[in-house]
Amino acid sequence: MVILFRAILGLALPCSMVPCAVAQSTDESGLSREYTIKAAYLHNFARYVQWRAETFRNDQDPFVIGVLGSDPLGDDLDRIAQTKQVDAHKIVVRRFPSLDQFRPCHILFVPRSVEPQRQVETIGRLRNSPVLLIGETPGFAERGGTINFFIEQNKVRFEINQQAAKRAGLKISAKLLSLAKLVSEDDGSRER
Amino acid sequence: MSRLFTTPTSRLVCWTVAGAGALLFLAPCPAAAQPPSSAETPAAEPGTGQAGQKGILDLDVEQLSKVDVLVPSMDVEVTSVAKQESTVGRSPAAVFVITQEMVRRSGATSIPEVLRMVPGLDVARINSNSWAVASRGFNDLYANKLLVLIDGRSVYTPLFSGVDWDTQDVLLEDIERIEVVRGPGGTLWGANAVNGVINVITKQAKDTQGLLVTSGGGSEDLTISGVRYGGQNDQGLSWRAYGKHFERGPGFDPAGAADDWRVGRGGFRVDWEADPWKCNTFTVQGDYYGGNEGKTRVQPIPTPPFSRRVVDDEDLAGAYVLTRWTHTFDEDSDWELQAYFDQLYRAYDLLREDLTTFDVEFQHRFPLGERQQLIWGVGCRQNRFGLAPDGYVLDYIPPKQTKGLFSVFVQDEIKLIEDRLYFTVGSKFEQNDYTGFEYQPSGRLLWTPDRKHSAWGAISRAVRTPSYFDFYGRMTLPRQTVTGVPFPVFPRLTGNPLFRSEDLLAYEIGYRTQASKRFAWDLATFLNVYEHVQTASLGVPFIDPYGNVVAPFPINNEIRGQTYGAEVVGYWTMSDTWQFSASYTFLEIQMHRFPSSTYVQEELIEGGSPHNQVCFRSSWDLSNDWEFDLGLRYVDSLPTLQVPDYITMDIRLAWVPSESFELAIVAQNLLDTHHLEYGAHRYNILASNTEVQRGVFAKATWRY
Repeated sequence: MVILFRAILGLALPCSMVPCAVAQSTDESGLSREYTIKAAYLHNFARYVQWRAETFRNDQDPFVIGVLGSDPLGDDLDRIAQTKQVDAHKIVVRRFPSLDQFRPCHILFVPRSVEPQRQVETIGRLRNSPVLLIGETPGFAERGGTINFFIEQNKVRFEINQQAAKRAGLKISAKLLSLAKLVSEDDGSRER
Repeated sequence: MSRLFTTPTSRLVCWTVAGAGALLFLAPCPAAAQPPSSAETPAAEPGTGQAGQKGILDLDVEQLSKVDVLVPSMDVEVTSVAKQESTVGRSPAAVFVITQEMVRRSGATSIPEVLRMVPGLDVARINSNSWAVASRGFNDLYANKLLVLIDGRSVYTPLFSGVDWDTQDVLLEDIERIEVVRGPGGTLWGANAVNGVINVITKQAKDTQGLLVTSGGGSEDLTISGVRYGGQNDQGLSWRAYGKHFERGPGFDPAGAADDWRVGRGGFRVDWEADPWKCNTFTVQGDYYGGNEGKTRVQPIPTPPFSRRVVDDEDLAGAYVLTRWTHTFDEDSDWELQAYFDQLYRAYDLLREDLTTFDVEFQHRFPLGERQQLIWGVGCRQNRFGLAPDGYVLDYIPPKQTKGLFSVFVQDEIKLIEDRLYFTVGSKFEQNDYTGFEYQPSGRLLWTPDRKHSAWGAISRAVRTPSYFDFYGRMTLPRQTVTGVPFPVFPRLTGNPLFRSEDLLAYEIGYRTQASKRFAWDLATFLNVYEHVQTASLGVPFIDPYGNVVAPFPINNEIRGQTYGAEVVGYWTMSDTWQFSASYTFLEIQMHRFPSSTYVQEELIEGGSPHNQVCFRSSWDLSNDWEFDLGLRYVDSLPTLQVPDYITMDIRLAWVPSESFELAIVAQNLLDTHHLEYGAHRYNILASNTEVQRGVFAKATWRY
């Protein structure tokens, strides 16, 4: 009897928290670390890519990472912003629910939840701007995005469109290029 | 026989083993042709939650390209099952891996407390400084069927056959993982791994760089302190040095508890990768500890009232040095030479114990043809006993002796169907100074229909060889009535040089699966058939020099029996921030003594381990900075020891604002002010039991 009472007492505590915890977990991630890895990649891209000098007014200007639409990177991106820097520039994260609210940023991440129409529109709008466009939808790089994530053999990989980078005035380091799949615009051909 | 290993011949054998290893060093290192191809992925651990992700955020772009997106529980690394790197999913054994993250979030401050989460293990705290830990039955202060190793060094004491859990300790932050294999491990690990092997593996020096300081205290763990510093150079040399100290308070005893204790410990580890392709790696590590602990005992005395309660202080000290040399040819073949020297000292009113161990081991693994992976090894160990017993309660005749052990093992993993069916067969052969020749064969079958399921079965034989006490010891118990004598006598457990090894034939089957992205479970079942288990029978009573009647009970092997049971554990990952697991352990023991045996041992064994145990653990990352962990466990009663069943809960709340600081508050054994985990037993003359009290402590950790 006493055991039963203690058991109920012992289970009451975790049970009272179950509804809250379950409500939080609306995502499909399970044991997946996909977005943690992508957040880490964003920071790495910032380190291995050079923007034109005029994208920073001065040394105190922050490095801005923007996310379009509903942000799947969440806490991991915030953590990067809190703990990392890019060449002595602090990192600031801006989230734009829609393209209309867009303000200048160095990196714009376009999640796959953004409708294909909007993605194309975004690429078109920012074609010549000094923004590193990063997506995670097949075809993003061929359509003019600079970098696109894809998953191969349970690892996060990325492809780079060098022409798009050139248009945006971005210099990509050889190290990053060596790890990427290189993609040409429009014709969809792939080469290593 | 017993003189074989004290002669120069035995030393020659030991050094030949070492020399053979050195010859193999001359073999060219093909790895020099190409740089190592294997990636440096962060450890794939289920349920790493926030902290694992913090690790990923620090990785460089090259490393990121090698990180697994989906981390199934079957891919957790394990080395104890096959003495080589493998994964849980590919291990034909009941294995459970405790990762560093699980250690950190359990709030445990000592190794036995960490082991509570393992299904199939029975951990009972006898008093503040003593634990009874066993796998699949036969638990007591000197539970003798579980082999425990720390970094390859056996910490199983040959004096009483068991583990002195009060002196086996490491800086918990240095633990890489603890692999627990339930079931016989005799084939690879040797005698005494009858019901399981626990392998505590500490991190390499290169993974413990910088400064770490921990400090805390509370109501039961009165003080907790630790410091560790690690460094490295460009030539592949990395090292660490650490120190730790704790003071723990007594348990609860209405008659007054005196089991408080304190231990200080310091150690080091040096790893050297002699060349960039890790062709040769060397490790040297060692530590030193000293402390004292209080004990209450109920001891027999020759004059009325014939027993007394003694409050005593025990002094403990010890040191070890271990060296290891690994030579790697390629991914599938390497050899390893290991030698260690271990010194142990313990002194209390009944005994002063000096135990020196010297051990040399060599193992070599290589592929044989297309389908086979072979591993073989030789080993040689010497235990030097120096004992000064009180002579009345405890005695050892002779008190000083050296015992040796020589062993050879071989195991072959045969690929019957690529990626589907594997058969592993092997055996260990030992020549020891007690019983001579012993053999421990085993056969294991592993079926992996795909990456998500694996099933396995095994048949193995394992032996528990005699301890020094079994042969040469004498323990007088308080005056009591025994069956067969009409008046109260002093029973005296007496060693017997004719005592033979206990043996086990085990049949095991298990199944594990990563059922979905969120849920994995693991089932292990067993049937163990024991022969020649230790018991004692009434000898001829006689009158001792004090005029008292002593009833000798020479130790013999006149009890046998079976145990069977099942252990099932499930893991749920509800989200990136919340994981929990639940396990259930069932055990049934049936022992039968020979009619001639008069010591009523079978009920003691049958009622000395719980029939059912349930464990629930939850790890929840409340936010970026806050962690909340919960552990709940139910342990069934021990009827013959008069220990009722209990249920208890531990909670940990931690604030982790950055990677360099953590503040944790841990509350343990919350559901009762105090509860009993172990009861009256003949070993009460060595250590009386107290109850485990509710307690809380806080601990801060800084890393630079």
